[in-house]
Amino acid sequence: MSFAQPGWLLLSLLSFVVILLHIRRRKVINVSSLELFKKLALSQKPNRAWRWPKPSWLLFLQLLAVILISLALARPELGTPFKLDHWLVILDASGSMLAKDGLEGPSRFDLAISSLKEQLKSFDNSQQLFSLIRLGAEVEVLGARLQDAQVMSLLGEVQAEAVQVGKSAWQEALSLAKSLKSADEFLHVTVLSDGAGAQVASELLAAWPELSQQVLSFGGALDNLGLADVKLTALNLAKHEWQLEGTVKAFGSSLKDKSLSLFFRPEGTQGFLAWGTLALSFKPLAEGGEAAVFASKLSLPAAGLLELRLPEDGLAWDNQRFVELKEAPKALRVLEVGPGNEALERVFLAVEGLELFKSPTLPPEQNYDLIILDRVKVAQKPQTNTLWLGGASLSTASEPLSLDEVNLTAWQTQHPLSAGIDWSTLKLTKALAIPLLAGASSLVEASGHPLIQARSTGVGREVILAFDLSQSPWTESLGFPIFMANLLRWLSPWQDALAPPALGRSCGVALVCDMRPQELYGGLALIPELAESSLAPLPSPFAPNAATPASEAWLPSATSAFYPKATGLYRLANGELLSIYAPASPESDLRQAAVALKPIQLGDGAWPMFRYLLLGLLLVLLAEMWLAGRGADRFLLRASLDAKNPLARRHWRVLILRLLTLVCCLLALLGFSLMQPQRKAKTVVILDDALDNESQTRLGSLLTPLKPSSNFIRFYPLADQPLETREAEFSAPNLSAALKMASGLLADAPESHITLVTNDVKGDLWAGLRGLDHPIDLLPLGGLAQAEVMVGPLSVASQLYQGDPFVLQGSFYSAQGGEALLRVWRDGELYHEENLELLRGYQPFQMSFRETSAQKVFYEYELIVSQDGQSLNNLNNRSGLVVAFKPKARVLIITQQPAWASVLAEALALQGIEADMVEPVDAPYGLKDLLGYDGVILANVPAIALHSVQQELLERWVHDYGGGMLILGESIVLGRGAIIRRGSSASPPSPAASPKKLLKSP
Amino acid sequence: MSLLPPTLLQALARRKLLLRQAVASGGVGERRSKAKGAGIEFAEHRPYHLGDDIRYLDQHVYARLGEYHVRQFSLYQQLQVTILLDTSASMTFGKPSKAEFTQKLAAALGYVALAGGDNVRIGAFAADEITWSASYQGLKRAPELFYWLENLAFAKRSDFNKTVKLVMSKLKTQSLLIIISDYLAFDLETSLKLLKLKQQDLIAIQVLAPEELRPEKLAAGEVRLIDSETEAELEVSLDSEALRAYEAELKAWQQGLKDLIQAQSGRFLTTVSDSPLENLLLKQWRTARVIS
Repeated sequence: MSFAQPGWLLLSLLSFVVILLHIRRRKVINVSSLELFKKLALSQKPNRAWRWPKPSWLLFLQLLAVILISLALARPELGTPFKLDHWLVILDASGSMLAKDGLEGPSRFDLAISSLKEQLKSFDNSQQLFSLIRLGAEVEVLGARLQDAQVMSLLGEVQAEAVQVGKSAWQEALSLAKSLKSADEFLHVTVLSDGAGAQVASELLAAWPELSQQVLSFGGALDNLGLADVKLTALNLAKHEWQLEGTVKAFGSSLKDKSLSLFFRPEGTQGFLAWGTLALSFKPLAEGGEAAVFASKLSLPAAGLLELRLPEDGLAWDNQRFVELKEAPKALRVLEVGPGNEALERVFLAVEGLELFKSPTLPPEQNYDLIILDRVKVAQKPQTNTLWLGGASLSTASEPLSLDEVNLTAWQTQHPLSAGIDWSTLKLTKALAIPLLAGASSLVEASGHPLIQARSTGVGREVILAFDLSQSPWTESLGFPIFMANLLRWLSPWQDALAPPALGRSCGVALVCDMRPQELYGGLALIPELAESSLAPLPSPFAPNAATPASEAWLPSATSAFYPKATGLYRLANGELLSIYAPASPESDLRQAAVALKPIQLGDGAWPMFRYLLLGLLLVLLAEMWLAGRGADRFLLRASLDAKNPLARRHWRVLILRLLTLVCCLLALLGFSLMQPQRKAKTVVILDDALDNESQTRLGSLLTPLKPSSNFIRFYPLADQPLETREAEFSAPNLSAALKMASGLLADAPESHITLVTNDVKGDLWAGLRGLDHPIDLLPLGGLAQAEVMVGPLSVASQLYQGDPFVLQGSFYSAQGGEALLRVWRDGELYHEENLELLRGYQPFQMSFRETSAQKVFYEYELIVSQDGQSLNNLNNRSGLVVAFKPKARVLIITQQPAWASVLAEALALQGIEADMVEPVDAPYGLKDLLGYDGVILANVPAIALHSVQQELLERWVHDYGGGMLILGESIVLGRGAIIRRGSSASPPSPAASPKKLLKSP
Repeated sequence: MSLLPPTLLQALARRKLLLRQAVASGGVGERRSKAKGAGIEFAEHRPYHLGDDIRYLDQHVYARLGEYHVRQFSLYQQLQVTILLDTSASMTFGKPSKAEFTQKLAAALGYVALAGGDNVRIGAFAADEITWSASYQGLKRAPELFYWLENLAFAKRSDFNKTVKLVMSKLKTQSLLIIISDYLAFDLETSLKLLKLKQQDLIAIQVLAPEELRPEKLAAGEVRLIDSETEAELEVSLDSEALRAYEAELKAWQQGLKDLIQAQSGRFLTTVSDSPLENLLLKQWRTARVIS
């Protein structure tokens, strides 16, 4: 016999209280008055203090009742095997589970799945519920409280991934498992993992002895080699020289072959060529195992794929790395449809590696990365990235209204398209009233109408400018080319971020495609280049409806991350190759042996004695009530309950108490859960971790009443949130994951709902809330207390040189408006001060500064807005940033007319640019003479004036080292076409499409 | 008439309440009062005063004495009989209960008073309030009196001092006052002083239950006693020694009450709730000169 809640057995100690009461018990006699008896009592001697009560049926029954109550509450069960109500499996899907203990055999993960399926077959699935939690990059509830066939199909889809799973993730998974348990069910938790994971899980589960648990461990101790931190950088592209660096980690002493082999597949060929072997020198590591750092110069003759391969071992995913080498950048193909805009074309032509095409109408073939629709009507939306200009629209759409006055009222500085742009320079006289599209972010607004809006759709990005560029002076300002550069960067975000810095180009000649998958946007299918089967993106709650065209299915940027589930080389739908491999992780260490397996014991279930004990208790209570009521206590005698009886009230009270006890016992017998009421309606509160302090304080009082009956999930919109600081019951990396987790928690409670606490009620939030099964309460805590001012993040242009004027911009938020004092501190010293008239609500601002005598590279600026009455403790009223000033730009002016060029030099000096002037004959012949300059200006220099060596040097300097060049002069000067261009793999469009190809910049 | 058997009523119809101090003082009754007026029975002569009815001039006295005297006659008036009945919770105690016995006793005394041509009024007191019956006169009103008594409720605590204060305004001077109670928890001394002001002819009747006279009927050994009015508890051991002590205490207490009442020229009668009424009324109390 076992007890489910043995603590209640202590209640049987109340038997002593019953005996004590009987010891103190006297025959109760009603008398008309105590007056005479009081005199009698005074003369009597005190009684004996202790006297055992006389044995009686009443005493026996009362003792029996106490023992039965304590036994019933302890929930004894006869028999040892459990009867499963709910089987919850936590499946370790980390990198080490991909290991194969035999080289040809199935992976540990496959073994775990097979074992799970076998055990499921042996179950009577109609009796049990099944839940599956997958522990990978995230803790995911794949299925909650499923039945029968759903379970098997779920197991067919689940996959492991090459990621690391830490202790905090295990803790989160086990907390989640506990919260998925209903009040009355028998929950059994099975953990499927391998050596290291099983060890952690066992330790954590030991803290929950009340939970029926089982840890199954797969695989044994394995020795393993793993590649980490592989980097390929170009040394000399002309000579095809590359530098390969990286680390190989070895875990285990039995490894004999520790060589690193290189294979190379030239572009356009099949199969890899053996390219040599790198000798590795291993040194022991403090944390165990040993590591070899390698660095080698390679000569790779052409574009292609370089593969680094370690000897085959149990864990495949850390044995290979692929690096793609390109001869030339893949050009961005841009098509301009419409009358065209010279300023726009000028900007695009200045972009390296971009091919600009022009066509009056939208051609049927749309093999372009970006289509610009300028004041034209098109029959259908282009199936690629699109820029709509000047009222361009679908032919079926109605004409938008014109805005009479265009005064900028708000703008967004945090959007990627706004980086480094001073929106106050946008002056417009005319604009169109185009409504904000679903899922779009408004970058600039005029009286509530978006002037620039942007969104992500199923086929790419979509940007709409609600004004005509040709009639706007904005094209002449600095912000316009920056906006277009931002646009190109936004279209292919990974290229710019991870291009080798040595090449200094947005899409390098040789692109090492080591990308972070989160930066992909939706709509691109990943197809494994070297994998056996293709992978489809995982379904997400934000997947567009099947009935909605991809171009209309807008995707929230924060949730469009794509998570490849296997490492390897991938080809995007647009042709880009991506090498996706796991970062270096302890998952490569497989030396931990598997823990002993514990088989699942199944049976018909224990025989619960609760009901029978209650039935016995009911009978005992009835008998005791009869005996007491008809005997000494007299509460069952009619005369005692009669109103004429002076003790009737006392008798009624005793009778009612006894009846209540019987009713409680009867209700418990009938299954009414009085002690542990089962909640059918649950609440999951999702908390935005980005709430400011003010909101957090307000949140505390709002959530206090919810705390006893709710689960809390905290999600982190900032990706770099350290895991260690997560203190909520559950945590999720983003809103999407938090909602998935909430759905899992509420799977068995259809009447439940989710409360989402966030201040970010704009933008992409609404998309994430569509299509959920549970209703959502949105609880924005926004707003500041009166007399509080909030200063938003500050921003400046991305690149600043010493002496450059720069604009510090951001936004204020004031709850009540009024006068305020603005101070700017630089490196702790007051730098600028002015009085300010704050408006109520959000208010953008920009301030121009210039560091004319900047002595340092980095300056720290802090902006503080003070207003009377605001709290001193509130830190919302300040914001700061560190600005990096590059040294003053230096240019070299090569000219034959020093007097004329000196005017240019003086003009440049006024802009903070130092200029050196030389005659063409004195122009540098060696690279080291040019490396000190940021740019070269050829002022009226004919080609003949420069030696061919000088010309080639200039070409190489611009081409390979990113040097800037400005050519001034008339037709005789060194100009377009005079320098040999190299390496464009772009092919012109087909004649049928016949867009006119514009000339590209040198 | 269910309170009393017809035979008893028949016997009581010929009786009267005997008085010590009380005098009839109102209405037309059967008791000779101190008042003089137009009656039949000659009482005395008094000198004639201007305005006297000359029909009552006694010519024989004038002939003998040569002075004018008028003849005066005695008046027969009613006696005011007030019966105060204790209806506190303690009166429900006993087998048969004191309340039941008291109701019968009050009915019998009331009936005797009505039979004697007296004016009867009953007051039921408990706590700090008193419930008055109507004033009854004549035997034909006896059923009403019995009905009123039958519907009395016995509950609450008794507070005799407050009761007496409430009663004072209703009492006629030199009338007959009968108090039927167990006299438990009574502060009688203060109350009697008040009643003396009204020169009441007091008959105090103490009714006790058999168990109160002989507690051994309740239980023996250690018991927890609960006061029926206050619900106070007391644990005592009822052994033979204690019973003897109780008996002595009871006698002393009753004697104390008797002395107190007799000091005020009152009459103190004790009875037990299981006493036969016929014997009590027609023998014992006749001997005690309470009933004629």
